[in-house]
Amino acid sequence: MLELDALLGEAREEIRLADDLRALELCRVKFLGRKGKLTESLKSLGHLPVSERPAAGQQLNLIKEAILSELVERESSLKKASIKEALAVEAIDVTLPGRGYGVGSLHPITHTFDRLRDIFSRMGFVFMDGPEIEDDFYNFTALNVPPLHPARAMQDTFYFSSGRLLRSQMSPVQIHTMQHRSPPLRMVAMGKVYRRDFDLTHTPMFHQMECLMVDKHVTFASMKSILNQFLSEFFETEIKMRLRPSYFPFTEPSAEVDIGCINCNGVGCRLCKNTGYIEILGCGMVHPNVFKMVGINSEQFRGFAFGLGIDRLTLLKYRMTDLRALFENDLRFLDQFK
Amino acid sequence: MKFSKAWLHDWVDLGALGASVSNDLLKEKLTASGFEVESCESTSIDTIFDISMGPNRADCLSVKGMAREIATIFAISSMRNVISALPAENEMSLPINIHAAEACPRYLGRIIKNINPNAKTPDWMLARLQLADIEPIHPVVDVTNYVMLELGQPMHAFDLTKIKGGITVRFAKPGETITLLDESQKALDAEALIIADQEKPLALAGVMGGKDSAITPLTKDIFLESAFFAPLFVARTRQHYQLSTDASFRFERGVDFCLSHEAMERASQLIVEIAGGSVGPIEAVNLAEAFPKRLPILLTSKKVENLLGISLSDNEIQHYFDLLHFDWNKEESSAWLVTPPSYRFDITIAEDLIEELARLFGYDNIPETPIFAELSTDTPKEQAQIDSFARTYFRDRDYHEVISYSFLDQASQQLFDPEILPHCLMNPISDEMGVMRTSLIPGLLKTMLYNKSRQQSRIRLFEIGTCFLGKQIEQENSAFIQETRLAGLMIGDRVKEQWGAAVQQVDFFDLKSDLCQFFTLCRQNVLFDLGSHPALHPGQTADLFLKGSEKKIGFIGALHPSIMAYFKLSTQLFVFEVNLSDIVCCPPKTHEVSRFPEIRRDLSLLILNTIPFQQIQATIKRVADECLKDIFIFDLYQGKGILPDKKSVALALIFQHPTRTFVEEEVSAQVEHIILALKNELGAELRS
Repeated sequence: MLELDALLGEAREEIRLADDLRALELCRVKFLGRKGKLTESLKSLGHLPVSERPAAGQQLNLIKEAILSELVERESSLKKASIKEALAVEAIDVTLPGRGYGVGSLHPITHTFDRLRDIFSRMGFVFMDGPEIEDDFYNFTALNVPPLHPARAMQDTFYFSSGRLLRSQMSPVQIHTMQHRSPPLRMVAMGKVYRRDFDLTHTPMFHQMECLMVDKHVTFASMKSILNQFLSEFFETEIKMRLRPSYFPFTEPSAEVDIGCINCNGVGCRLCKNTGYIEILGCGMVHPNVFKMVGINSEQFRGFAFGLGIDRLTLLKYRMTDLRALFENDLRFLDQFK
Repeated sequence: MKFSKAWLHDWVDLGALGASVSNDLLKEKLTASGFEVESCESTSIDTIFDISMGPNRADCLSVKGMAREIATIFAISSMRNVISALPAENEMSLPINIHAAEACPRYLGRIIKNINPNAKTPDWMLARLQLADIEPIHPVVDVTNYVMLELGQPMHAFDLTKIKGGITVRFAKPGETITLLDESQKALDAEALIIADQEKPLALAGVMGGKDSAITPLTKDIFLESAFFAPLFVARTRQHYQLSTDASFRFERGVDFCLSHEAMERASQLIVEIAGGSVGPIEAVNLAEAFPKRLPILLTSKKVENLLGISLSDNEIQHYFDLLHFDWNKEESSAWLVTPPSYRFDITIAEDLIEELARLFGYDNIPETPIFAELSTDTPKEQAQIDSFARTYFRDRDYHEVISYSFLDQASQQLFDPEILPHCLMNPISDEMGVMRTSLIPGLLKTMLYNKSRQQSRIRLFEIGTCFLGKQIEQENSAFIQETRLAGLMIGDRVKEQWGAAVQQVDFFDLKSDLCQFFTLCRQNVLFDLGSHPALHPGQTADLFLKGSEKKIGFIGALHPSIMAYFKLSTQLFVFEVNLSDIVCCPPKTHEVSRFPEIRRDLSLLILNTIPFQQIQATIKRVADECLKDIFIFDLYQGKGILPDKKSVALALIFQHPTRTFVEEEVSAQVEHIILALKNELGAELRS
């Protein structure tokens, strides 16, 4: 029996030393093969007295299983090592940049459009569109600005020889909408408008948003509430509003809205010209003459409207100062707005 | 308008406001009341406020008017008065006739004789005129200007000796002309309101005086005018003759028609003070039935509450009316008939009154009250979102979105669209922005050049915007077609220079691929046919059509070599433009997916190289049945080994049966049919 223990010890040692699958196979043949050492021992069982054979046979089987299990274990660990080695060769530099196309960018005005669309969609406003070349009726007369009205001088308008004009505000879209839909109404129009002005703070083409709500229980106080919600959501901070009486022919009462400077919190900085406030929009309650023009009963319905410059809003949002950058289309500028 | 605090103080006691805070307080309260104080500059003796106001508040375009407004805002009950009337010292007067009652219902005249021609305007008056940038001219003219600034009444002084007979206010007769103070000569028409003597026009009423009857250094006897001219008539003259003056600015917005007498007294007083002279009686023509109407307006506190969302007590409302000098009668509880004063041209309806109440109550004191409204959704159709979808798509495909001006110079427009006449602006900022764009591509080219000169060589741009087309005869009802278009531009390397990728220039098919996949995502079947465009390469241009429609929806192509040379471009540039409104988004068309295996057959054809791929594809599709699922081209070769007028095309045909496995013979029979058709119709031969 000592002989057998020695055999197991020998097999274990050789399996441990086998450093590849081929050497391991040689081990298997040496001990478990047809002419292997264990097989030889099995054959010698015949020489033992009959009474001892079962015990010896059992002993031999136990040793055979022990060697087999050693072999399987060693094989698995050798395979793992060889895979690991192969993978090591395939290693790459994962810090190299990826290949292929890059991504472009959306114009900052588009980013503002999208944000405004989000905010007002949630409040149940619909988005309406209209032509950029308008006639006098939609741009002026229907908005309570008849010919020769001094308010026409408030905006220098581009004209065509036919008498048509480039809309100088988004309000014509309000008129189209009120003509074609009946109240209650909640609408927003965003788009390009044109005025004959070109300097550091004006471009002859710019973008405006106008908002109109017509319903039975709309008041100046509720307009203030909508304005505050919208401005706070847009700038993602609590906004302090200041309203000043103002004049627009199409609203009465009318107001100009300032907000506490979002840059310095009202302390005074370059952005707010040290006033602590930034002019942001004009608003008011729809003038009964406008309702008359579109056939809405102003005893039954009231409305508010407001309008603001999207370009300016964009500059404020991104804390930029140069309006002209918006229309130069310098790729190095645009690339910042992925 | 600039206001001197000392001058305001002449009219309202500002000392009562408390000297230490008054400048800041004044600034704050005026701004909160709708009179924005744009600047406030103090010197040792005075403070100058620059105050802006809307065109509705012409009543404050004077020191007295602003003083009155300050009294209202600060609830000061009494105003000061600096005017004393002069008794007539002579009996001289000119007859005055008004033949245009509606345009001029009130005209006052007065003669002052024997003024001192050597008199000088005092410095204090010059300083106040300086505030409005009014140059000194002559003491009499300076006084009329001073009174305009002080009271808001534009006046005019004539040299009495130049007036023949009397004064007539009338419309001009055809053929009449006048030389104005600014030396310009105007031919008058029948709508021009003038002041005339018995022979000729003397002045454009309410706008500018004539040169012939003007005050000169030699003038000794003068005729002073203080009148009310109705806003629309002055506005018409100003606009028609392109003359904007301080007088027309005020008359157009509305001058108090009850002010004429007071102004006449004030001007006489100052002229006599400065230049002496003897005053005649004030000659006045008043056509009261033509005065602007100040009708009582009905206001209820319910209406105030409905519009503002706050409730004011009857006492509060009445208190505000009193501060505003509104004449009111309480009809019943919480209902009033309110008549505004003569100088408030802007108050005609209840809403105007409510704005005044809100202004005095303080806009900032009105609470923010959440809205209660019916919940309704009105989600736009997918179609309405196409521009937003296109923007995201092209951004993701490595294009930068740009926004160009809708107008450009005619040369750039003509370079790209020589066959389309643009709409021209009558009053452009400059020729550089003179015509409306007929295509987005000139704008993209301009942006490309701008960036190319800033070391950018790989440029991919897109823009969505309106283009303006239509009939060129500019008539009242000429059509302006306004189309929303999407355009793109591509030049330079296919991908940004990087490791492991060869540097390759973009070609037609790079742009086409991006565009095709956009159409695929919009679920549009768009055909590309060889097309033409004056600014594009004749052999590398395609027109785009929706399948089954004749209407061209856009184009794609390489920029014409002559334009490339014009811009000094050395690498090819590709553009496309599509009319977005022609693209109608539709839901995906679905079919059941076959569970049976696909069979692929490859064909290698030799065919004339003038036959487009689309034609080969169409021929195959016509012959094959619906089991032909797909055809794609996997190789295209021209050159060595084949005839110069031929090309070798390798096609893969994919067959699949919807309900069973194909029998080999069925596929072979279809392929035979296809080969036969290609041979007979297109002269194709199979390559061995």
